[in-house]
Amino acid sequence: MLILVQALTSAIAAGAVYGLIAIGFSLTYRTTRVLNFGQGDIAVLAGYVAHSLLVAGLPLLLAMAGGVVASGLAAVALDRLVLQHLYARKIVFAILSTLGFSVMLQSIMQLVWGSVPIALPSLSADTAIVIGGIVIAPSAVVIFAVGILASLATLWFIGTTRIGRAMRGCAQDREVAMLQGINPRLMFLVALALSGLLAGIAGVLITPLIGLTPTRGLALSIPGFLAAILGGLGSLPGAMVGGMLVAVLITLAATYLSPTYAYGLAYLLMALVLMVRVRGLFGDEIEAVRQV
Amino acid sequence: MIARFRQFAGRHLAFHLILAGALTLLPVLLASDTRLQTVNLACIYGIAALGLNVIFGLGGLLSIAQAAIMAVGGYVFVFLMGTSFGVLPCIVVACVGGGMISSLTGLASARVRSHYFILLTLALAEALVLLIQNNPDLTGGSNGLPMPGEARLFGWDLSTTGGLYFLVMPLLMASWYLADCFKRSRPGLALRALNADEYLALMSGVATARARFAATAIGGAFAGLAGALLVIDDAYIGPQSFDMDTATLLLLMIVLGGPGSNAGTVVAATILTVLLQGTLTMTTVGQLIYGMAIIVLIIAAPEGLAGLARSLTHGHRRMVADPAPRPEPSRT
Repeated sequence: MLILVQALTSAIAAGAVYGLIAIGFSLTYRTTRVLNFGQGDIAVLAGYVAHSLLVAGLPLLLAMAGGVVASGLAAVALDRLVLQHLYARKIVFAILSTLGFSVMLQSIMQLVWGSVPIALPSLSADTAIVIGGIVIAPSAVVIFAVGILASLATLWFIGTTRIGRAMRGCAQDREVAMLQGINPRLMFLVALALSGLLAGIAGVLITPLIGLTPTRGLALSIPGFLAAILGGLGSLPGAMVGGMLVAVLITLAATYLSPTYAYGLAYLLMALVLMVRVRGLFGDEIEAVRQV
Repeated sequence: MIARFRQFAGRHLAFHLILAGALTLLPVLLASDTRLQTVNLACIYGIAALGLNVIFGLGGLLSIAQAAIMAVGGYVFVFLMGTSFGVLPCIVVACVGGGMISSLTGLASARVRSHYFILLTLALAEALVLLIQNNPDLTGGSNGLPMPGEARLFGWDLSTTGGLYFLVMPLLMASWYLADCFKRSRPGLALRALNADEYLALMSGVATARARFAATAIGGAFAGLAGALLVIDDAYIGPQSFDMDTATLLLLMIVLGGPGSNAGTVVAATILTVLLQGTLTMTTVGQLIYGMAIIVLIIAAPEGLAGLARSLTHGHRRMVADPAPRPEPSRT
């Protein structure tokens, strides 16, 4: 029982990070119909930029903020320089171009920072909190709190602000949104920028725990994909819940079944969701069967 | 109909036979083992890319699993070679294995489309890599395995570069011919029709699920063949030969060649393999150029080499498929 609770508490922090990546992923998908394979690499970029700013003498919090901004800018660059030219064409080409973007970003990071793993100090104290025999790392608490806050802020932004409403309208029906005077290209830009910022937050949160290598991106993208599918592609609360579920599933499988096949189980679950219930837990039924 | 098909088959068979005959002179012309080595690799990737062209180029199913399917072919080949079968039966079984695993995605494509299909193939690819890496007793894990047995086909030594060339080049030509035949055949036509407009195809009575299944099975068989040949070429198998980078490279070959064009795919596979063997991916700068090349290619040349060739022969046609950005019709 103690092991179970311990595993769950450590899973929650990872879940918040996966959830952030998944929300960005889902947001990009539902507004632009693009699957962004560079999402994980954008997250890694935030960690690197934060590290450089820290070395340059900035306080940790400011350095991390700088990393997050850099991620947002990278996503904006992806939209302006690449995707913008491809929205009018078949969507697979835009998706393919994000694969190219991922390769490019990885090699840029490798050129600038080298392939030696880099560590980033944690935001919180190192002494663990012990409650009733369960060890809780303070960093996990911070990650969880920041992750939830960022997700709630995103949900609020999409749910209540004018721009958020315009984005939702654009996701639902592009032509009708255009008739209401909404510029879809601008909405795409905002969606990309937001998902870049979310990926950046995920990046600076997870870096103190796992360290940084330029090729880490895909390993962050994949749990994000899994989470987004599980929650229902395009659903933002679903992405957050999906992130938690994926983390819990992977942690539990690693604890009780086999550490090597924990991810395999997650892939299996994803395939199962895709085959049996494409819209996932919270997805829109119409959305899920829509042909793109 | 059948008569016309026969006429086509005959004409194209002649083209491929003559080209294969001309290419037998290539080892003499190149006069270097390292250069011929690159050509061998180009032929192998060409076969895998032709398979992916059937799935993605004709069928519009963006599959990220093609490299993993190559791995399936490769490992099946290695396992069978370990049990003293000849090279030929092992290659055939590798084809069948690749086709079978790939057709799983074809079965899934009856329910799962576009974005969901891409993610499903991603899951399949990652799961296969996971299986390979976590069974070191069977697959050698991350270190891989040397190829067991003797690379000999009817007394023909395949371990030399020249010897292998006379296996992979004719196989590339045969694959090209078969891919051309499939493209012109009824299932191929059905596939192209449903790629152009699925609803119209459904209305015309096209069996869409069957066409997609056939595409993934055939494309997978090509990948299995390429995987087995890659093992003979390297005399080694390891998971790093079949990672995401390889999958991206194969997709790039389709984009450069022009989706749907077999000739374009073969030419693109040759160009890209020669470039990659020469400078790219060896250095980080090369990787950067490679990534940029993917993006620039997709934006600037949507129809690839095939489109370029078309626009050269028909000067009046625009190279860009969509002259003006137009909103996509939403289907709800």
